[in-house]
Amino acid sequence: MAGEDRQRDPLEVQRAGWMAAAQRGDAAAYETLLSSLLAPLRGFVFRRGVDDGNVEDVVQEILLLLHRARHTWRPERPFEPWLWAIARNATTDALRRQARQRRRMRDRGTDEMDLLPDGDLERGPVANPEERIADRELPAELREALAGLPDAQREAVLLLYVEQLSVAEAARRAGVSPNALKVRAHRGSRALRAALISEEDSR
Amino acid sequence: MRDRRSTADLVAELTGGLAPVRPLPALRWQVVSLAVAWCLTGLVVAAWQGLHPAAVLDRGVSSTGIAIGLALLAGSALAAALATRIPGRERALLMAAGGGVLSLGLLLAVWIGMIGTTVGAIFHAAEDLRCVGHASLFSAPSGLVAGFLAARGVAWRPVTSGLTLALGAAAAGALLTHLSCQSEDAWHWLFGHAIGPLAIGVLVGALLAWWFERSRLAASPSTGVQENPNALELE
Repeated sequence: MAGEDRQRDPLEVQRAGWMAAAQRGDAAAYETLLSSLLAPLRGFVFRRGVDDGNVEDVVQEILLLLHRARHTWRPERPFEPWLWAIARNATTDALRRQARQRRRMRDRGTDEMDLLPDGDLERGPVANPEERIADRELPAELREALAGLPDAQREAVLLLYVEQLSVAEAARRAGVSPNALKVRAHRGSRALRAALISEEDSR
Repeated sequence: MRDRRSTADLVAELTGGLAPVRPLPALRWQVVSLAVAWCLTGLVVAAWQGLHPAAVLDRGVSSTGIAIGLALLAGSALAAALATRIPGRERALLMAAGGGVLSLGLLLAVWIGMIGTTVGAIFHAAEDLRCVGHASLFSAPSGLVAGFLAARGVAWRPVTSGLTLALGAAAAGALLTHLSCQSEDAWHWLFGHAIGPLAIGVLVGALLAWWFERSRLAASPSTGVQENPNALELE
C-alpha cells in the first residue's frame, strides 16, 4: 500500500530520478535535487523542535550527511524514506546538542543568555518551535493542549491536521508506516479532545 | 564551531566537482555475501575438524536449541548490523532485532531448562576455553566481511552497529564450533559454544562501537565538506 503510494507520487519519482543522475555525477540534477529539498527540510527540522536560530545549521548538516551517504541509496529503493532517515538522524543529534546547551546554561544561570541564537532571545530559551507554529495558527486552548501531547502524537497531529499533508507524505516525514501515523494521529486527536473537554469543564 | 555560510553556498560547494559514486550493494546481496563467507569458513572447518549436524540434533533438545538459537542470532544480528548503516532500512532493522531477541530468548530458555535437569555437571575449563578460541577464530571471516560492508555504509549508530556486528559474527563462529564439537556435555555446549563466544562478542562489540564512534566523529558534518570515500575516480 505504502509502496504503491510511493510509486504514484510524482515528486518522489522526480527526486529519485535526480538522485540517480547525481550518483552518476550529474551536478545539475544534484543541484536541482538539493535546492528542491531545502524548504521541506527546513520545515522538518523546525517541526522537530530545533530552535529558529539553528534551523539553517541543521539543514546544512543534513545536506552534508546526504552528500557523504549518497552511495547508500539504491535507485530501485524509494528515495523519501532514505532522505527522511538522514534528516531524522541529523536532527536528533542537533536536539541532543541543544538540550545539553540548555542544561549547561540552566546550571550556570542566565549569564550566558548571550550565547543563545537570535530566535531564542526573542522568544525565550524554552519556547518549542511546534508551539510556535501553533502560536501563529491555532487558538490558545488548542495550543496548550497540543503542548501536553507526547512528541510522536503531536508531530502526527501537526503533519496531518495543521500542515494537511497526505497520510503517505506525513508518514514518510515522520519515518513510520502510514498505519502507525494514523494510530498516532488518532490517539493524539483523542487526547486533544479529552484535554479540551476537561479545560471546558474546569471553567 | 563551523564557519557560518549560506545554504546556497553549501549547495554550490557540494554540486561543484561532484564525483560519481557506486551504490552500495543491496542489503540482500550483502547478507548473501555474509552467508557465502560463513559457508566457506564451514568448508574449512569441515576439512579440519569435521561437521556433525546430524549428531547435534541427535544430542537432544538442549543441543538443538543452542544450534537454532545461534543460527538465528547470527543471521539477525549481522542483518541488523548491515541494515543499521543504511538510511531508510529501519523496518529491516526492526525485523532483525526481533529475530535477535527471539534467539536470545531461546538460548536463555535452554539455559533455564538445563538448570532444572542437569545437576552436578563438571566444569571443564580447558575444553570450554578451547571451543571459545575456535569460535573466535571461526567468527573472523564473517566478522571481517560484515565489518567491510558496514564501513561502506553511513558512519552513524556506532553502538548498535558495533554490538550487533560483533555479536552476529561471534554467533556465526560459535555455530560452526557447535557443529564441529563432539562433546556430549550440555554445560560445555552452553559455556564453550554460547556464553563464552557471545561474551567475547560483546567485548569486541564495545571496542567496535568505540571505533565506529571515532569514525563517526571524523566524518561529522561539523568537519565541513569532505568527499564521499566511495566516490569513483574520474577518468
